[in-house]
Amino acid sequence: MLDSDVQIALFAAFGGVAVLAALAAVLTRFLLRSIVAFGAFLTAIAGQFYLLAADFVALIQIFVYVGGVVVLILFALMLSAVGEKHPLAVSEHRGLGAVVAYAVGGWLVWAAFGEDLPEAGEVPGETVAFLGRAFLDQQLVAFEVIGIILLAAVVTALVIVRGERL
Amino acid sequence: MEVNWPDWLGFDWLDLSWLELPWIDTNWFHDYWYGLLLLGFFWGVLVFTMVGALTAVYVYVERKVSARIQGRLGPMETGPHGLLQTLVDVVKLAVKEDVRPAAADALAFRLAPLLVVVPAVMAFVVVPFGVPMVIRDLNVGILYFLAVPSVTGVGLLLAGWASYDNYSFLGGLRASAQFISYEIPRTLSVVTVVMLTGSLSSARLIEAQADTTWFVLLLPLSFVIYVVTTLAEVNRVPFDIPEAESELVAGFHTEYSGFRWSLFFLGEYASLTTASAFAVALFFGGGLGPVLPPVVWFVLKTAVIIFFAVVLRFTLPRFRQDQLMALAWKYFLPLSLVNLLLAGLVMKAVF
Amino acid sequence: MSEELLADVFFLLGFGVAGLLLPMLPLLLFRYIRPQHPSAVKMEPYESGVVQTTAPRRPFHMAYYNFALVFIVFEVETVLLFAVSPVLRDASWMDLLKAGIFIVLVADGLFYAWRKGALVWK
Repeated sequence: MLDSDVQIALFAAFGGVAVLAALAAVLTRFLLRSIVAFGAFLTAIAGQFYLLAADFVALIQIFVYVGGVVVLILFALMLSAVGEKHPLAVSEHRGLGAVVAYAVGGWLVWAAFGEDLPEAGEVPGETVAFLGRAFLDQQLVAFEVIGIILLAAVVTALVIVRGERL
Repeated sequence: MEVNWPDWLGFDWLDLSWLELPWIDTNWFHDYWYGLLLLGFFWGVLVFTMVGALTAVYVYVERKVSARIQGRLGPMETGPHGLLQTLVDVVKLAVKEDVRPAAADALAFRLAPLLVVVPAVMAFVVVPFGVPMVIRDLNVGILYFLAVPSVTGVGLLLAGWASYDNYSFLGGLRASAQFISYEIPRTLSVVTVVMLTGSLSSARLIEAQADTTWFVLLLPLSFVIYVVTTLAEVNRVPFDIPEAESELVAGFHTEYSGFRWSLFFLGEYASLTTASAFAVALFFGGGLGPVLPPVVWFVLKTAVIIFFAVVLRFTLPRFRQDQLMALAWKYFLPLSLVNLLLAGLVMKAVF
Repeated sequence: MSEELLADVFFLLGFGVAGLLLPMLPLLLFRYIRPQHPSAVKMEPYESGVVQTTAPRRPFHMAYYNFALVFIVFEVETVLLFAVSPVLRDASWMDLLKAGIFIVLVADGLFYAWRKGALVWK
């Protein structure tokens, strides 16, 4: 049957894939494989979103992250061609990096097991319509501010990449 | 849980209740997770086989049409009028040597064609080919149709990079730069349709057009943008600079041979099929039409669009790279933003 | 509701497995029928018969990166419009205005990039 046990099992399976892909992304010595593994990681996370009834977010994850951000990172690799080796494999600050990584990771785990996580609300029947309505009503300011931030992002990107003056 | 079975076959062919077998739970396929997994697998095999067969047909049609336009005969030797030519070609490709350059990245080289084919075939899940018959009617079907094939951009870049070849490298960069540039106007043209539909489900898309009229009549500009950008997305002429024979040999798949090469080919035709089928769903009412069954209407309309793409290939010269990018960013993107406002007015006028 | 989404995921997984296996099947099936005679010359990159003189993996043309960056920004904007678009049909003029402001902000970014010459291919 399709009950919550199956749902939790599948969620855990996606989580396992995500962890494996993340490990592969970090441990491989080839930059290209690291990026591909990152793409696999993002896809597994998209699966988890879908299971959490956030189907719109799941597809955005694929659309924007796999189809956009991963392509951008690949472009960065190909155009700079600084080396095909993973930069972490030749890191000069291994000790410091480990401390930072364990601190951040430990903090995330601690937060995940914390008691003060918000309760999940009721799942709306039409998730996208709910989201769209929210953008036009309660979250209107956020919606328009995102527009402004993205405008700033275009400007900043061009300023940094092309050395433009404002 | 609504599952849309092909009613036109006269019976629910995967729902075995009509056999009245006492030991088979009729809802097995949609009540258990392994049933669903198996159901998805069946549909995957079915769609993939169908897309493969269709590709063989296209290749034949394309060769014949090009021959007709260029005053040649085209394939004539194998079978009557060369009908068996593609079949023979498939066998040839399957048993041809699979050459991989020594310097290539083996893993990425193998992965790239799959990243081109699989998303193109998976996009078929949400194509409504009846009224409103969809293989699986996802809540966010229209977004799914745009999101899943966007992974192809990664495959194109990987192929170019993995081959360790200057032509491939350039071809891969060009192909995916073009791919992402045209993706935005394309998505925006679909947004206008979503505004009129009021839902992201592809089945609702057909119902909305049954209630009003074909959306091409309401949003002609969206249709033009969608068709042109789709041609660019699937690297068809006049947007095939990434694989321009005269300068880049074969672009990102220069180093591919045999069956792996044919996977790229399959991916290109599969995305042409799904994109044309979805164009019919978005703008031409899918299977809506008098007298004939919906599926027949759907196939006819799709065939017309694909035929248009085939004829176009042998009629137009190709754009230069700078023209191509300028067209995407300086013409189609502003045009599609204006189109959004226009669509808002149309929407207010209709509803 | 949630159960339907769970069913979707299993269906898509099954579909994806089929989509992955079928293209690989002929590759595996004909593995031992295919000729396999690798030689040093054959495994060189094909550059129209000339021996490769420059490595393909070298620093290249920033124009591609420019476009990719601007692309990401516009894609995020497009996706937000996707979220809003289904409710617009039954929305008031006020709601349309709110979406319109967002679109104008998007257009502003395009206008800026255009004026700065970022959209010129060189």
